[in-house]
Amino acid sequence: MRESPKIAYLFILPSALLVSLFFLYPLSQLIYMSFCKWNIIGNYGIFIGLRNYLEIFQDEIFINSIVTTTVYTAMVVPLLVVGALILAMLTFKDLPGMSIFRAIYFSPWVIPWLSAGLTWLWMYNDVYGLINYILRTLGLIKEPILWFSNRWLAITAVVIMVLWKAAGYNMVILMGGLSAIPKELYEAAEVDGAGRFYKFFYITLPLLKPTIALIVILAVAGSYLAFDHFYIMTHGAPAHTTETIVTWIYKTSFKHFMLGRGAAMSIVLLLIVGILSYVQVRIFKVLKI
Amino acid sequence: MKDKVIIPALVTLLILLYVSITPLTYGQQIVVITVWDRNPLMGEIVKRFNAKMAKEGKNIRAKFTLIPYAEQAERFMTALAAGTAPDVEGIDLVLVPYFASIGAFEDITDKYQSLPYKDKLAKAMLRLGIWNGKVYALPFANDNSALIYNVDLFKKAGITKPPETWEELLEDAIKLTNKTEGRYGIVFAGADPGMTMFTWLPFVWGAGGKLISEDGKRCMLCEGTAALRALKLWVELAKRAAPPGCATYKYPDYYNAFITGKAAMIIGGNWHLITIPHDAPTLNFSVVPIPRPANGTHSSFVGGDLIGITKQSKHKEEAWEFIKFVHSKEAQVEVLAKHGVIPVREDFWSNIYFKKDPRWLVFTYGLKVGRCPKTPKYNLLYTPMSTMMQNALSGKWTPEQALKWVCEQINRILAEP
Repeated sequence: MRESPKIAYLFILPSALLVSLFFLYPLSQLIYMSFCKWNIIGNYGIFIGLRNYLEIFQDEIFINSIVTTTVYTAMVVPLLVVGALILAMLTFKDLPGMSIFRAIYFSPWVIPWLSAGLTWLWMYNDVYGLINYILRTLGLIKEPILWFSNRWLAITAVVIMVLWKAAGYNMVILMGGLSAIPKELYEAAEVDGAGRFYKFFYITLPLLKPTIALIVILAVAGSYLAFDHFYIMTHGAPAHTTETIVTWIYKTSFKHFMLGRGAAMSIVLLLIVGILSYVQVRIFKVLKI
Repeated sequence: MKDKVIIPALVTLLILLYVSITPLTYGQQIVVITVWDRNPLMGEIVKRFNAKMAKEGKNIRAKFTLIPYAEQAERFMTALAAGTAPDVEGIDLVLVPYFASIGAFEDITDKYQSLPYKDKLAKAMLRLGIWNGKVYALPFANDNSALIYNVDLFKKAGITKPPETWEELLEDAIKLTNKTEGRYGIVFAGADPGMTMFTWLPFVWGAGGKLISEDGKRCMLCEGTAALRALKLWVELAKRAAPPGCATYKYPDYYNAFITGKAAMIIGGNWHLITIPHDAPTLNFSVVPIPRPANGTHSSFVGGDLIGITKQSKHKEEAWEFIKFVHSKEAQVEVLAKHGVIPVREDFWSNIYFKKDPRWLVFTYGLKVGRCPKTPKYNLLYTPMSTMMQNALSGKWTPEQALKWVCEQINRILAEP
């Protein structure tokens, strides 16, 4: 017996309404705004065609922000996956006291980005920071490392902080994936004489692929939306070369009062994240994950 | 006999009815005005205003919303667009020319003219509230900049008095620096554009220079040698007497360097007189005006908040009543001065709280001699100014290159429609 499709539409109506109201309607407003010079008093736009789009691609800081965000994503996502995988493998075994380690690795995730950023900023400082102090005491460096005086070093500094903060969270997701792998597979492999290496590469990793794919998609989208940690830790330094796309959208819209230009940047960001997500889903499909 | 029961019963009923209705009509008459500001002390002022109104039997009450410092522009902006702006908006004075230029504030020129104390209001602040000859916002609370120094470190280095001139500043800063021990004479927040404005511009002004012309159309940093001399001094200080990373320091880096005793001096603000004893109770520090060039004058960056009535307000007279209260002794002295904010009325500078601690007088002096740039494009100047400062302090650009670049950038911004 088949139900009438009309009833099915009725069931998706509430979510369709919510999506239209809170996503499609604001999105249409944003698209419209991106073609306008926006007047705050009165809340209306004066249509100026593609001018905002032409201007943002002449904005050196915006172009730089795309590069910075892309480099940051390319660095942080693989490291995050590998780091989380190592942590998950280390803590997955049910040994006594293991839950304490899991809690320790997860705990940075519950610290607000603001507090974490400020703490690391303190640790990175060249004069009173812990990191330079340790490196100097160990005799690894003579002069302190100026973490934020170089664009790539500054991005690296943020990447290290994000790994510390987010690896534990991704570890938990991976552990969910690990526990779904049937134990019989490992037992059968052991009977066949498989060692640790083979078990990891021929059982664990292939069966974890869907979980890893999920982490990658979330991490890529999340990294392109990076805001808090860069805003606090680099503030664009050195000389606005480490603005991320979102910090620059924020400054353009709400500090420089150019809502139209900020909207155009947001649309570009939406396209980048949309295309990347689509490509990832396609790749995972081809790889049959 | 019946009457004896009915009449008192009726009277009682009427009284009960009256009592039950009164609060209703009373409630309807009360006008509640909304007040936004980034300064939590405004909450205390609102409380005192409400108490005064209740005591005087006036049907006005104020309701305060604290706006986070970093969000003040966008909160006001989005409220204006949505038509939900508060009746009274208190906002960072550098933002007022922009909001006045787009018509966010009500013209209060006549109201201002009627104030008996209008000549006592800090002129350097009032200037920012005037747009095209009309008054849109009035001073509410002041912050300004001065040199804050670690007394113990000065003593240890054998320096008997704080620096008065640029030469003494450089000399002392070098004396206080011991790079192998990780101690420095001074520290800057090179990557914080707001602090660059707040702490560096007084050096330019003291040497007779300006950021932008009076009409707001031209960058003046490349005219004359004031800005170049001021920048050269900072570059020299950064090279010889400041932490190596200070070109890219954010506010926390700079502040922590001072309170941990790693840097002996900062150009700071009056709020530091409150925050430093809180964060570093044992730190022995004092304040003097920002050093001046040998043939120049003292200066300071006059910051703080202005307060105005928004055009969208439906209770403009009641809002004005509130603004007048904000200028009262009760608000300016008993709330602001008591908690380390400089009153905006000259006649309140000599108050019991400031008499107890003469360090405050450095800031009332700062408000007298200080300035603030006035342009609706103020926020747009942050990016070029901070790029210039970071590249100059790190030695990537020479002071000449840095100033030439920043002048081109600012002139381009000011020329845009």
